[in-house]
Amino acid sequence: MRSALLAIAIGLVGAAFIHIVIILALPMWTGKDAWTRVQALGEMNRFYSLANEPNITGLYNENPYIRSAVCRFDITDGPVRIIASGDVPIWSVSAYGVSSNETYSMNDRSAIGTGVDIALVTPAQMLQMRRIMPRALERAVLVELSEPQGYVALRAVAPTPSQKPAARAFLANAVCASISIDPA
Amino acid sequence: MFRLPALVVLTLVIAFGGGAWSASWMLKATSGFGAISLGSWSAYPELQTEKADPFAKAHRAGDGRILLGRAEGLVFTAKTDETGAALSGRCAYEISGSTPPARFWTLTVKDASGEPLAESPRLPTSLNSWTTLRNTDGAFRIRLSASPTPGNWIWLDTDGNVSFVLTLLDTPTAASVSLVELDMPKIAAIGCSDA
Repeated sequence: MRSALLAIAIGLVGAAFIHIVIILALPMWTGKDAWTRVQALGEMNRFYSLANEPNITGLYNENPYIRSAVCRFDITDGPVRIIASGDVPIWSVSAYGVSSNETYSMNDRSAIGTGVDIALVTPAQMLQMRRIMPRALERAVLVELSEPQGYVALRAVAPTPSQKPAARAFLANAVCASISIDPA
Repeated sequence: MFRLPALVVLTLVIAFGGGAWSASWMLKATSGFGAISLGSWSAYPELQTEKADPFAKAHRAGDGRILLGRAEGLVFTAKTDETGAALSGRCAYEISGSTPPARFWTLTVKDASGEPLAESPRLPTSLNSWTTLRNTDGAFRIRLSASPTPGNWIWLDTDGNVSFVLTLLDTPTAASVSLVELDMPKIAAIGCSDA
């Protein structure tokens, strides 16, 4: 009897342990998290505009007034620059890491000019840039990311149907390009 | 003779069975902690961040959506009206009042599985802050029903339960420490069609 109670007690402790392991490990094994879906969209360093209807990629514009585009990046070998401009009433941009945690976000009110101009850099590249700032990046918002891989979501708002072409063009012309910083 | 193996099997069954069952039950019962509730509306301001709790992260990974960042906006969802009754796709509702400060907001309807209702080219299925008519004091009154009504109207005629989604873009709400003083629009049931 005593040993049966002991077995149940050990079982319950094990159950608690397995509960914790399952909850913590689940994000890595769902196979349909945002990062996996973004990877499935295609190659790095280009924006993919999302469709408006649910589709096999799993990513779509859930809000009929907000259009979005996603770009996957890897800044290990050089910074990635994000440029977009156009006649949209509101735009916003967020960067996420591999585990889909937000690493940076901004909108048009917090931008310097009227368009998006962001450079994603690693801490080492940031140090290099502090010594010699490349002329092209003088006006860019420099965002230091501790994780080299991730994705950027760019969103444009179109409150009325007449603004939809402008929002589409804003996203279609958005650039997400790897650049090289030469010390020379 | 078989006592010890039987006890070991019992321990393992309790550990694996109980662990798996409790984990799936917890994931069904809760969509994570850290929600802020204002009347019938609730939002998860930290869902997309590192600070989200493990349950919220598990849900986030299962949904696989690209969430709005902190500087982008905040999504409020309502599953019940102000009396606490579940929102039905066969009932008529009136959403009235005003939203917390935001540069832009949208109101959409989702079905029971969390998918947006199919956008119809002929019927309005959503509204936003630019297209909503307001009173002189800035408050609005939106009808959601199967038959059109004058003023702001969203078509609502679907099976099963629905949820209303209010997305606030570029809002200080996400960063505000106390959300008590924010006023969210009220959801009142007007009536249900017998179907």
